[in-house]
Amino acid sequence: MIQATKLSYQYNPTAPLTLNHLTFQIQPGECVVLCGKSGCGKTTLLLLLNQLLPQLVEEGSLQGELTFQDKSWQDFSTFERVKLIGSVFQNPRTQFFSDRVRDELTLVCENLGMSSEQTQQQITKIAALFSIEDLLDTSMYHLSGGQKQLVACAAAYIHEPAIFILDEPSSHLDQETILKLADVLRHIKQLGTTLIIAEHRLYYLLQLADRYFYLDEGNLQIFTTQELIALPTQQRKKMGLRALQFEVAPLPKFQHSEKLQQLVMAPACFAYKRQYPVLSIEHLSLSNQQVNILAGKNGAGKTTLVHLLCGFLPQKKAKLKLNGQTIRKKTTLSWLVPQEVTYQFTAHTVLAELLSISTDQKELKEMIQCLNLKPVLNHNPFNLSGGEKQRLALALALLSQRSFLILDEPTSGLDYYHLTQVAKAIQLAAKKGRLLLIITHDLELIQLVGERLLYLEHGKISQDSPLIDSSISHLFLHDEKKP
Amino acid sequence: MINIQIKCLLLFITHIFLFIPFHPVQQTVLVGLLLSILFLEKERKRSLLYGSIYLVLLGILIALPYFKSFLGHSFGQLAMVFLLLYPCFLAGSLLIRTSLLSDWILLLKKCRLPMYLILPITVMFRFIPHFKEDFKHTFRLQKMRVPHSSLFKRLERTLIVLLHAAIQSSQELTMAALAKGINQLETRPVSKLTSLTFLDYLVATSSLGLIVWRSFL
Repeated sequence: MIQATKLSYQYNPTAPLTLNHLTFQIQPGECVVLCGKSGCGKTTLLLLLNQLLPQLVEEGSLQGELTFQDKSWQDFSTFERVKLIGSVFQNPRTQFFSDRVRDELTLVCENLGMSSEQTQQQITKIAALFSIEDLLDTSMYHLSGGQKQLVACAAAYIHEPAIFILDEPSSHLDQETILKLADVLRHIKQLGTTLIIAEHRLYYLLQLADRYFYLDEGNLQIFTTQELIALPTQQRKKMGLRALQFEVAPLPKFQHSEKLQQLVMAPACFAYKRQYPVLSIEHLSLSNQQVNILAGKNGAGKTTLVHLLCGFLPQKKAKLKLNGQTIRKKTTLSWLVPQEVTYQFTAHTVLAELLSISTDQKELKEMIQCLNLKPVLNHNPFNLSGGEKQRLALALALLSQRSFLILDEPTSGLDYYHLTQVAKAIQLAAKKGRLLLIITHDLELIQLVGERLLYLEHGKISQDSPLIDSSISHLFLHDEKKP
Repeated sequence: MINIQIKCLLLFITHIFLFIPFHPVQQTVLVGLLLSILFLEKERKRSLLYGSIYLVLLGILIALPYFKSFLGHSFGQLAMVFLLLYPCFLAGSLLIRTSLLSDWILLLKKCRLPMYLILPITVMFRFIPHFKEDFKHTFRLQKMRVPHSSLFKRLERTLIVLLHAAIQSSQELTMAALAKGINQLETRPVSKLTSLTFLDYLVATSSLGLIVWRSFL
């Protein structure tokens, strides 16, 4: 049993308390979900639970008591801690130390001093549990984001720890992989493992979670699943919590610019280094009278399509015509807001970043107000929270005056409050007459802004239709039914 | 397929050939051996490509007496230098392209290097492709952001972003390392089979045989 008594944490003596006198118990075999707005202290609590924070932040101060089976957390050696706890982090790219899946799984076993035979047995067992047997001899560089996250989970669970801690494991996953992950977690829970998961997407954990720890500015409120379901929708949204289950809500009707803009891409086929084509598009036409949603599984060819549209890939045949006129330089037409938005920042403050794109005072003021950037104007863009970074990237895109905006997973890792902020920015872009293409798996965002759905499968557009209430549920089931 | 120690031995032998006079026949045998290993290591297309390049260079060497002009002669000399370096390049390519990170860890462990040196070195190598990918992506985005800027300005902007990305990656990597207990520096069992196979002995004997052949020819 994990027991916390009046647990408080402060990153440095001058900073406010990130965790404020938390008292809780977690029973063996229980599944606890940590939820709350971005920056509420979820990751801090997770890093305290897996005992990494004291090693990472020297000036941090911890008060109160944290025990496991009546033994203080600080009395555990590194070896005992690693044996007891498995941890999975948010970004699957920076969790690996080997270049092959099998070697990555072997690494933890070696750290724990397992013999060769034991290691092989564990690899076979855990690979079967996570359904990654056919990936064992694959290079890490050839895995998709979803596959990497599954391998990260398998590597953290290879020694079957008693406590399994996951920090937003679904943020880089498509619908199908999220459901697969939920299945694996259900199985692990049945084996008696304690699960502690920090997550914004709550719907896939509904059947799994026993209790929800809601954190708000370092304060803790505990809900059972029934209590959380019983909360009025408005209150849940106010708390920054995302939907617990998908109800089909009416789709938005918002204002578009009267000036019509139409982008047409000539038939295009693309293959990497003389391999099989990953993309084969016969016809693609986008208009600024609809917000276009591009969906599809991980590896379906979404990124390749976007790179073709942006002119990143050398494909002369994929010609673009805007309102009938051929675009010679694609990079001057479009603006991509990537998943990793920090790749676009270069200035030392948010204000300098905005000024580097536009100096029109009126426009700047409108953007700062609309995207709620005023409190962070003098902050370094690289030190902002996930939601703030995303809003800044959107502001840059809107200020850029480019006709065609492409947003790649703009709401991954965001709570409900920040999700609605992003949705507002998208609505503003639509109102200003921009052509919009949004790559997303986020059904809540689709419900808030989507008007037309392009579904990509094996490099081909398998569905191109206006989004109506029924197609939302179809999209959800579409992925769910697939093996 | 071939043990990393043998690949290192091949690299060493090709360097010996660099410093002592050699016969084209001996060099062709050595190149043939390296290309065959590359082929066996499932780098078939690459081995055929390298083989073709070698034949072209050999063709230029044979035709060298017929180059009368200064430009032609200089070109021929350049081809000769490439030919001299070619076995080293092939052995290096074989070692880098066909060895896994775990092979390197194993090799460094066999060299009795302490774990606190092995781990940072191997993690650094593991992250080279990661940063290469980051660089490509950032460079494209900066090109999109300021399409008419100069190459140097774009490189400067890309480097700023990459430095920040490197800091973030190193922080995330530290967390993952601590969670996996990589700081456990005590001796740990090696799960990978390390014994030399028949093929390893065959390659080692053949390459050493080439040196013996060289001393008698």
